Amino acid sequence: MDHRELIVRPLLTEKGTHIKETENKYLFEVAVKANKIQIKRAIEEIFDVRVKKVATMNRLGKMKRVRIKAGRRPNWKKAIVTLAEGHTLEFFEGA
Amino acid sequence: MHVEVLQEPSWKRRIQIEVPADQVTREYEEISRRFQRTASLPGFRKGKVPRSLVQKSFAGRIRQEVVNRLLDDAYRNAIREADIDPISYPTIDKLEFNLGEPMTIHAVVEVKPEIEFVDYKGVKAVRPAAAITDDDLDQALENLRERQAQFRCVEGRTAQADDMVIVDQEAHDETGLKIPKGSGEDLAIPVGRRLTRPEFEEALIGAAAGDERKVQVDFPADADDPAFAGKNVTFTLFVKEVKLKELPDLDDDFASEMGDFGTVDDLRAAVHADLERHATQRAEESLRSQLVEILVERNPFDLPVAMVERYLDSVVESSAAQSRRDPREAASFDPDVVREQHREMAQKLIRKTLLFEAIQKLESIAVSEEDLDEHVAKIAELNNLPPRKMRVSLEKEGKLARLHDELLEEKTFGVLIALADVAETA
Repeated sequence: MDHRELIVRPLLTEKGTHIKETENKYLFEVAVKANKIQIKRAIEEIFDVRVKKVATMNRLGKMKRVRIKAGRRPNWKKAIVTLAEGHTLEFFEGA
Repeated sequence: MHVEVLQEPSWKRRIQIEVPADQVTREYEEISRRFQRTASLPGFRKGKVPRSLVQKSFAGRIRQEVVNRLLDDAYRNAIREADIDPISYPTIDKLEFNLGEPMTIHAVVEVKPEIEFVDYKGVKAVRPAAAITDDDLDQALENLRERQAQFRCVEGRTAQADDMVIVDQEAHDETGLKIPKGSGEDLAIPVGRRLTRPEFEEALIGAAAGDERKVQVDFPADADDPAFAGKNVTFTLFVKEVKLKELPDLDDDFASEMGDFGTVDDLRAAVHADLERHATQRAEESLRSQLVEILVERNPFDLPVAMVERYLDSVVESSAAQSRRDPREAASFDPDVVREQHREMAQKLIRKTLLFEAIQKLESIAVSEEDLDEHVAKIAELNNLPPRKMRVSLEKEGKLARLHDELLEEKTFGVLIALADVAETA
């Protein structure tokens, strides 16, 4: 899989901003099938940084209904990427 | 802040302002903080978006706000610092703004032209004579009698000039249709005084009570009244009464009826005084307008465009308001025409105002509180009010300022006339 397909988008959230500042961790939405090793490699190559650790979690899509029809948002995977000391992602300074 | 003022014509100023970089930055941070407080972006609670993200996502709006604020502040401070009293909104013709750099603003405003020298001494003018001749007096008394004229019904009289004829009138158009607007009962038509259409007067001369007269009038298509326009109307007049005009005799009875006058001589004296007062007033007005005319002519200066335009704005506004009340005028109302019609008058008026201001400065003419009080007291007396109450009510209506201006103008004219070379005509 291509790197660009693996990493879906960066997540800009309050919590994400907080752990970026305190622990040098960055949040991404990634492909559900991506594993930690692939993610590490992808981030290192796309942003030219050294990744120390990757944590992932599967997020279940929320149930949504329109009138009585039940629907469901797709499941997705979140990755918390910890960068090595001295590495940052300028990208996250703004959307 | 660095301010530089260039004088273009005497009524224009180019203000060049440089706002230092650190002030720009300070303002930028301040505005960002304000945006941050209310910003809401997905992923963040309201007001919790980090500053850097706010600055990136609202860059355009923040920039706009910063420019507005700085521009406003800088302009205000600049005109205060440079002691400029603008009479127009500023035109910004150069604006350079980059974060972290000084901001440059070039603003152009119009100001009252500074008039340092006014040639106003020894103006030659003529005060027309205000003498009242016996003829004038007689004419005035005659007019008084005329106004008190009585009309007396005379049996068998045929109408002559100066009579009043009472008629019932019916109007029909060429097809015989009655026009209600041209019909009526007991209409009083004065004869021989050119107050009605000549056709009517002609027809009524020689008519006696009980007579019937027909009058044909061809109304043009563009006649004022649409009920008649373009019609050939036949008016049928049934004469009911012919009344003779009787003027009251000029005697003591008449005098006492006209007011608190015991005799004809008292009345004459009062009328004479009244005429004289009016004549003096007219003479004074004529003298004043001559002075203004000469003053404006002798002292040419560049007139600021904005002042004239602003005055014309108010003229157009008030005549627009007037034409809204009158539907016939509304159709032909054209603001541009009104503008052009009044332009010359406006220019002269503003020239006069500016020259007067300059003269007031040169001659140190001012209206003191005592002057104002004195005048208010006079008005109070006319209105039967205690002076203090009068003053309060004038103030409330915003008339006190106008009174002040009137007095100032009065005083200025006084000085001008004293310094002028006034010839009296006999």
